[in-house]
Amino acid sequence: MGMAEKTDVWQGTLALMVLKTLEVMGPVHGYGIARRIEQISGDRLELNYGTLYPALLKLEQEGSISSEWGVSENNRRARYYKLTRAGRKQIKKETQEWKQTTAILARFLSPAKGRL
Amino acid sequence: MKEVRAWLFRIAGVFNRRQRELELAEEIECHLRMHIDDSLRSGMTAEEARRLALIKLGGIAPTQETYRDRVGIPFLETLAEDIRYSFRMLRKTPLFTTVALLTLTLGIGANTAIFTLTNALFLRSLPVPEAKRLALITYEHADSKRPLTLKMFNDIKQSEQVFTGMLAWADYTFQWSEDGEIKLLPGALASGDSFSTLELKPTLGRLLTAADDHLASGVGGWAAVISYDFWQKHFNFDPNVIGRAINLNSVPVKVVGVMPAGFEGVNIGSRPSIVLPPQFAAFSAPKQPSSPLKGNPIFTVIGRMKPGITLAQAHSELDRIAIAVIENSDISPTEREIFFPGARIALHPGAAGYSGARNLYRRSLVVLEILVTIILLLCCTNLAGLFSARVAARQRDLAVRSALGADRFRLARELFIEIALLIPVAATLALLLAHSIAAALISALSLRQWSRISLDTSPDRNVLLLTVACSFGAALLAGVIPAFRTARSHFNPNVPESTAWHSRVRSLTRFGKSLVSIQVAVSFTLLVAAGLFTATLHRLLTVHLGFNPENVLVVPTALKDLPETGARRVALYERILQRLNTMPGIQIASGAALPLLQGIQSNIRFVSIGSHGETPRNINLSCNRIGRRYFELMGTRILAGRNFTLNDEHSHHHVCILSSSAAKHLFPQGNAIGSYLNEPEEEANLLPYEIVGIAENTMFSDLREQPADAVYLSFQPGDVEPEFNLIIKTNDVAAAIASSRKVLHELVPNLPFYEPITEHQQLNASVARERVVATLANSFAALALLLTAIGVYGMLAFQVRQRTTEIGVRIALGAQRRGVLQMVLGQALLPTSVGALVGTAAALASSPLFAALLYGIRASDPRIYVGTMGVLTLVAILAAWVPARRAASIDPMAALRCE
Repeated sequence: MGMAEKTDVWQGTLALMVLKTLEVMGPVHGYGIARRIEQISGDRLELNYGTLYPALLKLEQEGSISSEWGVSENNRRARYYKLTRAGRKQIKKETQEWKQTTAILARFLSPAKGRL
Repeated sequence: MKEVRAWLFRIAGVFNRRQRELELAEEIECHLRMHIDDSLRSGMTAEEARRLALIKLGGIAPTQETYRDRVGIPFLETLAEDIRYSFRMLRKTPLFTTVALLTLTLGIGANTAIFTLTNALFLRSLPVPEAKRLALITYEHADSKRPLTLKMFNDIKQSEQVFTGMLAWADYTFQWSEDGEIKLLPGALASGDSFSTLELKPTLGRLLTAADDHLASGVGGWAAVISYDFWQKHFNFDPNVIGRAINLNSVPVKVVGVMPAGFEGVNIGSRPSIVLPPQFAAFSAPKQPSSPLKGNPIFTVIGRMKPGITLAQAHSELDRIAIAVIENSDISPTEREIFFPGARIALHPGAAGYSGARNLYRRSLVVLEILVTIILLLCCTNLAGLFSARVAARQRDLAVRSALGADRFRLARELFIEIALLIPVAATLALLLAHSIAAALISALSLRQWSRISLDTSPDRNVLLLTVACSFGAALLAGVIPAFRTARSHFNPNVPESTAWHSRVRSLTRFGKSLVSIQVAVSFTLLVAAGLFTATLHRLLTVHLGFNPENVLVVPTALKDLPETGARRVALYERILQRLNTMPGIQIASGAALPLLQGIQSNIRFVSIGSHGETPRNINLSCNRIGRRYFELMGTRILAGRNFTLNDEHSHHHVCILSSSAAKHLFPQGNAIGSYLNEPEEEANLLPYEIVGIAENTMFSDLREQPADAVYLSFQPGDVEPEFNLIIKTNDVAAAIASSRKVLHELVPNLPFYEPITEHQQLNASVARERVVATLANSFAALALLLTAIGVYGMLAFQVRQRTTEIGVRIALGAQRRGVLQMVLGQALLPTSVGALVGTAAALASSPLFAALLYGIRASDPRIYVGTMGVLTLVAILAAWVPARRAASIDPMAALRCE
C-alpha cells in the first residue's frame, strides 16, 4: 500500500466489478466481494465497503443478482449473492460497452498514433 | 424493463421496509465480524482490528441512509407523513377547517348546481348510438329556435339527400280512459321512422315503423310504444303488456313495444309515457279545429347525417331547399308575418335533442354561470387569505422547522396538502348540495302546467368533470399564492422581530389589502347584479295589469271537443255557468277562450269601418272570446259603451268590445262605439262586428309586453268553435275547484279534468324565471358580502395583532384612541374604495349581458350603483369595527412589556 495513488471507485463501475466478481467466484457474501474487488485492483481502489450494500440492493432489485442467507466457512450466518441469468447477459453487454469506451478514449489520449 | 422491476421491488419495499433494514443490520454486523476475524488472523489486536473494520466500512449510518433511500419510495413516504401532519393540523383548528370547507363547498356547489341545469338542458347527449351524427332542424327568428310543422318536415324529407333518416317528434297530451276515469297522459307524436333514425332497440316487443304511420296499413288498430318508466310504474314490468289495448282519446290503441330504458324522447324536459304516430291525433280528434298536424309548428325535426357528411354540408343542402319549404308551408303568409317575422330554417348539432325551454333560459343561464364563476373566484380569494393568515400564525413553528433542515418546498407542499385534504370532502358535499339545489330550481321554474320541465339532474360525466375542474382550480388559486409565499420567504427563528420579519409582515399586509380589494370588486359586481334582478322582479310584479288577479281561478276544459256546435254549444256553456253560479265557493263564474298571462295570444286581422265613413284601416288585434260577466269578475273597467248581454249571445247580430288602445288607434276621432270591425276581404267571411263598448287596457299574454290592442268577442254562435276556460271569482279556491269538478262531471262526464290554476299563481309562474334569477343573485350577493366581511376582518385583525407594540408606543406617546380607531378603519376603507372603483368598471362592462334579462330598469341605473357602494362601505366599516376597537383599547404598558 502506501506509495500508489488510490483511486475512488467511479460511479457505475462498481456494479460491473460486483457482477464480474460473482461470475468468477460463484455465490459469495458481501465481505468476500469487497475483499476480492480490492485484491483484483491490486489494492489501488479506495473502496468504502459501506457503499457496496446499496449497490448490491440495486442489482438485486434490477434482477441481475439474487441473494439468500447461508453459513460461511467459519460458521457465521451470512447473506450470499449469486449471479442470475439476466446478470450474465448484463456482464456481456457492459463488458462490450466498456471495451468500446476505453478504445475510444485510448485514441483520444494518444493522438500521435490516431488519425486525429 | 430493469427499471420497472426495480420500481416494483421498491413499491413492495414500502411495506417490508422494517424487515429489510433488520437484514441489512445483520449483514453489516456479519461483514464486520469477518473483517475483524481476518485482521486478527494477520496479527492485529482486537482493538485495532475493530477500528480498521469500522474505518473501512466508512460509517454505518450513511450506508443505512443510502440503503433506505433505495428500499421503498422516500418521496411517497414523507408525503404520507405530511398528509398525517396536515390532517392533525386541520383537526386542531376546527373553526378554520369548517370555514374553509364551507367556503369551498359553497363555491364549488354553486358552480355544479348551475352547470347541472346547463348540462341537463343544453349539453346532455341523447342516449342513442352515434348521437354526433344527429342534426336538429329548426325554424328560427331573432334568437328563438322553434320546431317545424309536419308538412315542412315532409317537404324537407322529400328533397334532402344528406340524411340516412329523419324524424318528426312532438309532445302531445293524450286523454287516457282507465277504469271509467279520464286522465291526462303525457305522450308524444312521432313519425314512424323516428326510432330507426335514432337507431334505438326496443326493451320489449318492437318500436314504431313507417308502416304504423297510417291506420290503413296497420293491423288491428293504432300501434303505440310505451316508455320504460311507464312500463315499470304502471305495468310493473309485465311482459304481457305487448298486445294490450289502451283507450286513448276514446280510441283503442295497441301497445306494441317498450322503449329502451333511459330514452325519454328527443324533447328535453318532457318525458312522454306513450308514443303514437302523428296521424293518430288527427284521427282521434276529427272535430278539433286546429289539428296539431296542420299549420302548427310543434314538430321537432332531427336528421341522421349519412356517414362522412359534415354539419356544414348538411347545412348547405338545407339552404338549397329551405326557401321553397317555407314558401309552401302550411303557415299562412299572414301568420308568418305576425308570429315568425323573418324566420328561416336552420340546422344545428342535434346530439342534445331539442327543448323550447332553451329559448327561455339561455340568457339567464349564461348570466348565472358568470355569477357562479365570480363566486368561486371570491371563495378562492377568501381561502387564499385564510391560508396566508394561517401561515403567518405558524410563523415560528415553520421557522424552527426550516432551521432544523426541513426544505422550504416541503413546507409549501404541506399547505397544498391541507387544501388537497379539504377538496375531496368539499367536492362531495358540493355534488350533494348541487343536486338538491338544481332540483329545487327546476321545480321553482316549473310552476305552470305547460311550462313544466323535468330534467335529469343526476350527475353525469360532464358534471363530474366540471366539479373536478372547479376543485382543482380552487385548490390552485387558493393554495398557490400562500404556498409560493411560504417557499419564497426566509425564516429566522432567532430574531423573529428582525427587519426581515417586519418586511414580511408588511408584505403580508399588502397582500391582505389587495385580496380585500379583489373581494370588494367581485362583491360589487354581484351586488349590482342582485340589485338589478331584484328591481326587475319588483317592476314586473307591480306592472299595471288592467285586471285584478286575486281570487280568480282558471279551469281549462276540453268542451270544444264535444260534438255540440253553434247554438247548442252556447246553450251548454250557459247551463254549466248557471249551475256553477249556484255552487259553494263560487262568487261569479264566467268563461274565456284565452286565460291571461299564459303566453298565448290569438291575433286576427280586422278592417275598421268607421261610422263617419272614414277610410278603412287594417289592424292586427289580439282577440279573446269572453262570457258575459267576465269584465266584472276580472275587475276590468268598461270605459265607454256597454258590456255583453245575454241577448248578444243568442243573437246573430255580432258585437264586440275594443280595448281603449285599439279604439284609439282605429278611431282617433273617438267614434269607436257604433262603428264596425270586419274581417279582411280575402278571408271571404264578411261578418261585421258592431263595436258596443270600450274596455280598459289589460296585459294579455305576457307581463313584459305592452298591453296589446285587443278585441273581445262573445261566445255567440259562429263559424269557429273556440276554446272554453272557466273563469271563476272565488273566495275559497279549494271549494271552487271541487265545485267545478263536480259540475263538469255531472254535465259533461266524458271529459278529462285539467289542472286549475289561479291567476295569482299564473302571475307568479310568469315571473318564475326572474324570481329564480333574483333569488340566486341575492344569495350570491349575501354570500359575497359575508366573505368580504370575513376578508376585511381577517386582514385587520392580523394587522392589529402584528402592530400591537407599535400601536402601544403610539398611545404611550399620546396618540388619541379616536385617532387609532380612525387609522384602523382607514386601513379598511382604502382597499374598499379601490375595490369599489374596479367593481363599478366591471359591473358597467358586464351590463350589456344583464340588459336582456332586465325589465323596467337600465343596467347602468345609478341608484343601484350608489346603493351598492353604500352597502359595501357599511359592511367594510362593520367588519373593521371589532379590530379597530381592539386596537384603540390596547394597553400601552402591556404591549410594551411583550417586547
